[in-house]
Amino acid sequence: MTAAKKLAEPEIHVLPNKRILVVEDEPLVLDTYKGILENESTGVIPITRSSRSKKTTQIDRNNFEVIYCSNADQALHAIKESVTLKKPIAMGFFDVLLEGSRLDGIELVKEIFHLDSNIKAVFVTAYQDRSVDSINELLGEEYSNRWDYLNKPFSQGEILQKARNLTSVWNLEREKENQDWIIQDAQSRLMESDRFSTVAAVSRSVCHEFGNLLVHISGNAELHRNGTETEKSEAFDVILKACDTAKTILDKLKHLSQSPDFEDQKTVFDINTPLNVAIRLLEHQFQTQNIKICHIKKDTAPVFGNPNSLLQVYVNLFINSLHAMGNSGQVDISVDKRGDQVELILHDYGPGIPKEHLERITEPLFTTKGNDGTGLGLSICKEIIEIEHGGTFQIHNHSSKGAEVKIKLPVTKEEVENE
Amino acid sequence: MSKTYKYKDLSILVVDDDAMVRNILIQFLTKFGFKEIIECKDGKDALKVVQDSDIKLDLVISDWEMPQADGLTVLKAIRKNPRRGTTKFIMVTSQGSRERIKITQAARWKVDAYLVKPFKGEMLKEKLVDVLGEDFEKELNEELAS
Repeated sequence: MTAAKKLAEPEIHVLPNKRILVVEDEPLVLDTYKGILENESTGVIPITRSSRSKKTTQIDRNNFEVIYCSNADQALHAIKESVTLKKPIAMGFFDVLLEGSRLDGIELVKEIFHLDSNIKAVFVTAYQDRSVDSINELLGEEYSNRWDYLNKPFSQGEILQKARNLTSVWNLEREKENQDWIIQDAQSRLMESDRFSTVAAVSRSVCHEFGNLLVHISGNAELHRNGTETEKSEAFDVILKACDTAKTILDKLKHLSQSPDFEDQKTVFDINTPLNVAIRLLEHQFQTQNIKICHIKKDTAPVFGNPNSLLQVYVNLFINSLHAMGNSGQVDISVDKRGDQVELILHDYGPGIPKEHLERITEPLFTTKGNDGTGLGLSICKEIIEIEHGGTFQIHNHSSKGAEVKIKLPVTKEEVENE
Repeated sequence: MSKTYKYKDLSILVVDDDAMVRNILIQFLTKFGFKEIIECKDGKDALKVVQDSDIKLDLVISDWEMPQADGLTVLKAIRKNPRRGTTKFIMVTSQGSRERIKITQAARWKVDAYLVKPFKGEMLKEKLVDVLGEDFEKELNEELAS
C-alpha cells in the first residue's frame, strides 16, 4: 500500500565502529599517522567556557583501530577482507599520489566505494595537484557526500578532527538505518493489524446478516420439507432469495479482503461504486446504531484508480463516524462533480474532532482510541487518496456540528467500465 | 427449577428485526404447540410489551442486535421489572463467543440461554428444555408424537 520505497533489513554492526584505513606510500608520513591516531589520549583539550575554571579534562582515548597500507592493492585487500568478515571500516585517509601503485588515490577510492557502500574517504594531497572540482568530477556526483580532503602538511588536530567526525558520521548513519528499518517494520505490522480491524468491524456486520440468511434457508427447509407443494414452492423461493442476497454480500466482502497493492488493479470506475459497497457492508451497523445515511448530492464521476483502496477509505471513515456518534445520528454524503474534479464530502453529526487533535489527526500512529486504535486509519486514507490517486484529503470540523471529510479526486475522461 | 410448566399456556414474546427470522421462530414454536405468541419488530416495541403489566410474559426470545433498543436493553428491562421476576430469556445471536464483553454483560443480567444463528428446530427445542425444565420436554415429546 505504501508508495515509499521499502528498506532492506540493515546488516547488524557492533557500534561504535572505529576502524580506520590509512593508505600512504611514504614511510615517514605513515609514522606520523601512527603517532597521532594511536596516542593514548586525543591530545585535545576542550576550552572551558568559564575563565575562572582552571580545571581541564582530557577527553578519553579514541580507541581507533587503524589498518595501515602502503599501496592500492594492499588497501583493496583490506577492504575486501573487512566486507567478507563483516568488520567494516568507517573511514580512510588516502594519499592522492600513490607512487608505485597501479591506481592513484582517487581511482583507488572509486573502486573501494564500489566494494563498500558506506565507507568515507579523506584525500590527503601534498601538492594541491587535484582541486576539489577535479576530484568530484572523477568520482561523480553520487559519491560527493562520502569524501573530504586535506592538504599536506597536516596538523595533528586536523587528522584527529577528520577521523573523529567521519567515524561519527558512519556510526550515526548506521544507527539511522536501524531506526528507519525498525519504524518501517513497526508501521507495516500496524498497517496490517489496522486492515484486520477494519475487516473485523465489517465482518461483525456481515456476520449478523449471514446468520439471518442462514436462518431463512435452514428454517424454511426444515419447516416445509414435508409440507404441501405450495408450501414447498414458497419455501424454495425464500431460500433462493436468501442465496442471492448472500452472494451479493459475499461479492462485496471479497473486494475488501483483496490486497490493494497491485497496480494492475487500477481501472476506471464511478466514484459512487465503492461508496455504495461500503454503505452496504456497514448497513446493519448503521441500522443497529440508528444512523441515517443522507445523500445530499449524487453526481456520477468516473475516476481512475483502485476501487478496493477507495472502499477501504470509505469503510474506515464510516467506522470513525460510527464510533463518534454512538447510538443515533446521521451521515450526509455529497458527491459533487466540478469540471475535471469530483468533491466527495462525508459529514457526520458526532461531537467532531477536539481542536487540539485536528492538526495531528492524519499523522500515522496518532490515535484517540487508546489501545483500540492503531492510529493508522486516517493516515492510510490520506495516503490512498493523495499518493495512490493524486487527490486531496482534508478533515475538519463542520461549522454547525460534527466532523467533515473532504476528498477531491481528478475526474478521468475515459468511460466507466461496465462491471 | 421444580416448577412445572403447562407450556401450551405459556406466553412467549419473539423479538427480531428480520421478519423472516421472526416468522421462522414463530413457526417452530407453533409446531411445538405454543399458542400464545407475541411478536415485535424491534427492541423498542418489545420494551412497551415488557412495561405493559396486562400482558403475561413467561418467555422472551430476542435477537441481540437490533435498531432502537437491542436485546440486552430488553433483558435489563425485564430483570428490573418486579412483575417479570419469573420471565425466562433466550438471547439469539450470530456472534458466537467472539464478543466476550457483551456476553459477560448479558450473564450479569441473568440471561437464561443463548441461541446461535443459524439454528435448527432441534437446537431451539434443546434451549427451551434448558430454560423451561424437563417436564416441559415430556409434554413436548407427547405433543410432537401425537
